Amino acid sequence: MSEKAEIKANVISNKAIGPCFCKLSLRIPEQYYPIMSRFLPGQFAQVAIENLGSPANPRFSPRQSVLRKPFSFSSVEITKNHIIAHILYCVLGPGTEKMTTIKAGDEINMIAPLGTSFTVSDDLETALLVGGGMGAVPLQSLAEYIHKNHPKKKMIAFIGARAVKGLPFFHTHDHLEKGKIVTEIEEFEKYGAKTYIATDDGSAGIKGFVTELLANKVSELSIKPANTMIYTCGPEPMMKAVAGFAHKNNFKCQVSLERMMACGIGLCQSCAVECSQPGQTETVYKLCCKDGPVFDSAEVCW
Amino acid sequence: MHSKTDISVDFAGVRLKNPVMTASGTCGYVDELDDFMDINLLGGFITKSITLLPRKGNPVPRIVETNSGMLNAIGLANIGVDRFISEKIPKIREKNVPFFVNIAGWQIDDYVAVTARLADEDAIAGFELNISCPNVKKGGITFGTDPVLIKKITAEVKSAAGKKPLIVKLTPGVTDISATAAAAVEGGADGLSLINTFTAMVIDIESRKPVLANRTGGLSGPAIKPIAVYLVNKVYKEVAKPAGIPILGLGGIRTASDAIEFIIAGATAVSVGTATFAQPRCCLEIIEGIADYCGRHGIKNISELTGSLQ
Repeated sequence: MSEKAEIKANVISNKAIGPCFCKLSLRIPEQYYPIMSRFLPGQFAQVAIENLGSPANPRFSPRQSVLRKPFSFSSVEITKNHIIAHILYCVLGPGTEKMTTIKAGDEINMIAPLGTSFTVSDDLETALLVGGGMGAVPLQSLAEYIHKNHPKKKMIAFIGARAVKGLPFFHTHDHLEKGKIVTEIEEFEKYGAKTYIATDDGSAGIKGFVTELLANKVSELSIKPANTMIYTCGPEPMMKAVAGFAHKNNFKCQVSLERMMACGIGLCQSCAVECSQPGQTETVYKLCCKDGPVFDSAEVCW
Repeated sequence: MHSKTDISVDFAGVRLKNPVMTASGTCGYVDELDDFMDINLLGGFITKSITLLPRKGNPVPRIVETNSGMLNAIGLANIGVDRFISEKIPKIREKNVPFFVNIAGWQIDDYVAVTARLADEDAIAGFELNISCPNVKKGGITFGTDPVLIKKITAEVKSAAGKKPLIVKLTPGVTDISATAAAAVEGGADGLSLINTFTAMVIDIESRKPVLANRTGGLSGPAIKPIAVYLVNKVYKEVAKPAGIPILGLGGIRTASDAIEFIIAGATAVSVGTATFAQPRCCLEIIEGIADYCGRHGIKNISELTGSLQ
């Protein structure tokens, strides 16, 4: 059976969240259930944007786009009766700006599910989810997956952003814990994951980098490398730091990388990721779309 | 499909069940598109460029999107001829469509060596000679712009190819493409494919650096189509028709009407490249559209359409 397919999905809603972010919710028609029910967290979709219109007052110079655009899923709700997929995107250029014109009732053409996924082994006891900005989005679907399929496993999420305003796609709430204001993220808490936040400006959580937060909490909570996996997605310098922490402290770590890609299905060879090979000095380029986007952090040449 | 029109074509001695082939570097080696279509329905399949030794390719970013197109600078990343033979040829044997292997190299001996390794492979229908890749430091496009070198490399590779036909892929980056086309024909080319990508650049104005790690890349997609149609027509009139050599037309084809333009301009067959990245099944839609068009226009054999420009 095919692992991926061109899927025509129905738009339930496409909501703006603050000035930069949008959430696109899609109903997957029944004929695609056999393909889409195989979705695993970390996999992505290539969304066709060519036929979308430009908004009335575009911020970016409009472009006739030939290529699809890759997006991860924040959540894919799979039940017997429906599959609903959610994509969070940031308006960063003419392609994503065109996506803001999508409305309820439209049909979206996407190729999915693509690439490798985060993997959760049976002997895993603690999952440490380390996300930065938009990179926290695929980790949300990982939390959803672990909660549903491995409810006994412990999850802790560490989310970093420039400021709390940089996470408008998450619902945060503050409460007092031991006399201190603690900000939690509902999207992770609802799956039983304790959340810790780090912001550059200290507007939520600790002031500093998420990697420092990770190191502090691992030490404070005496989390041991055995039976623990670090899952990370975010800006590449952040993931590099997380991978460095994992390596230094003997944690296993899975990273979800991002590359410019034309096809997403292994044809164009543009999304190269330099990787080491066991027992060899020569490195190879793997493809982010097919061999990734989720890699073992130890194989990536940072 | 209209049963009345015969859309099969003879291309350089190879019978194609329709005039639509994949373009090198946009369809993988053999089975990458299997999730999306039955490639046996294609007229032909042109593989990714194969070099003598494996190639890692260029650093990233290797692509950038442009208006109605994209630049790529992959740098001929490929598994090399040995692994191609051991891993891909067995899979090619399972397919029932003519496979053309695109050959690339750095010096004439490299091209000859790869061709010689594959000349006796029954699974291979023919070769496409890549002398027009803009993204490697030597070889590639430097061969493609010099008529003397083109004639020489064509003749030597043709001799290594044995009985298999040789298609020479031309770059548009020359003053007179008819001169390079004529050189390939003099060297013994059985077919010409044109055009490869245009060397181009996109600059990030914040950093004032090129976006691509290779600095430049090859422009492909609908943006180049009208130029490609013009060049196909020019080469058809000035070289291919007089010499009786078929043209494989490519450059920005996404629809049947795009393909038909190339055929009217003088192409016997067409290749689809960049469009496959966005619509992996588009070759099949193009084939259907060509058959429909021929039916509507009362064309009995698609060869009537080649070079029918008024």
